[in-house]
Amino acid sequence: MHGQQHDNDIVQSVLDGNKSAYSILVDRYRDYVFTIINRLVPQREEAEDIGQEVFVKAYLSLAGFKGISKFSTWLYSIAHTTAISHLRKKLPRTVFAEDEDLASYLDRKIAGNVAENKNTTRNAVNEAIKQLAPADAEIITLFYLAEQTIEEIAVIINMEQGAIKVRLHRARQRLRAIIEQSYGAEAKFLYKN
Amino acid sequence: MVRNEEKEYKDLFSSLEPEQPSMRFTKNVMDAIDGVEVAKPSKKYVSNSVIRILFAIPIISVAFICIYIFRNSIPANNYIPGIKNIALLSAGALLANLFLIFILIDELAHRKRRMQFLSDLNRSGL
Repeated sequence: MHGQQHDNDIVQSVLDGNKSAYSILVDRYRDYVFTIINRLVPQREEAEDIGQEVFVKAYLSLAGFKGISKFSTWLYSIAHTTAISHLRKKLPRTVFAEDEDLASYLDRKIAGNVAENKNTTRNAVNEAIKQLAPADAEIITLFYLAEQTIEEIAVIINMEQGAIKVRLHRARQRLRAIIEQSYGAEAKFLYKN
Repeated sequence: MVRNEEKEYKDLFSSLEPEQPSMRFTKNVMDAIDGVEVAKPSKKYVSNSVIRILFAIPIISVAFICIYIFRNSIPANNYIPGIKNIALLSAGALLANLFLIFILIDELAHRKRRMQFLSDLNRSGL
């Protein structure tokens, strides 16, 4: 963040009427917001539409951002909620009679195809994440890519910190299993550092 | 052991990069917000003075009823002109006020916990 304007200053500037300053925030977080949504909604076009909706929603409720949490945490919680609402609308209502049903749906659903390109660590990890259940992939993305803490992820996903820790641990185990299963002996190169 | 595993995962994920949306993403968002203004924050939070007043009303009422009951002797026939069955009325009012007090205390405690959590989060989140 060195040399960059602080998020809260940009938010204040937008609230003061400098609408174009909002594009700095969009540029800064679009990739992360898009990736988090894409973990839950694998179709790129849909994920992109939801991503744009997230930034419009965030803009409209910008005055409600009080700076108590980080801007990124606030934004990612809007992204999570919007993606989940989209899934609820898209899938049959009976599937989501209870929140538990949605969670188990996200656990069951396997996204993405088996990796074809096994040449680089980056591709291997990316492809393995795509094979994770969306809920696990989201937590991995928030923790390692978006660099959110356990406490912040708990706010974003609206779950207890203990449950987040368990889910993260479980997601890592599953990821490791997928990598080892897909790459066999070659998997060792992924953990050599 | 756990630390090694954690480092292993950190190294593994350090190569990870976010997915990128289309080049028009930012422009689409800026077009979408063109012509709309930031919504004014809704006044859904009750001010502290209102909460204090809401707290004070039942507490004062309970205190008043208690003082009234204990300072004034209730007639043997349980009758005060204009009020039928003073004991039942007092007990009912007492219970209703106690119920209100419990609700308000719970609400206040919940707000405090939430604010504490968010401020902790802010401190730890740099």
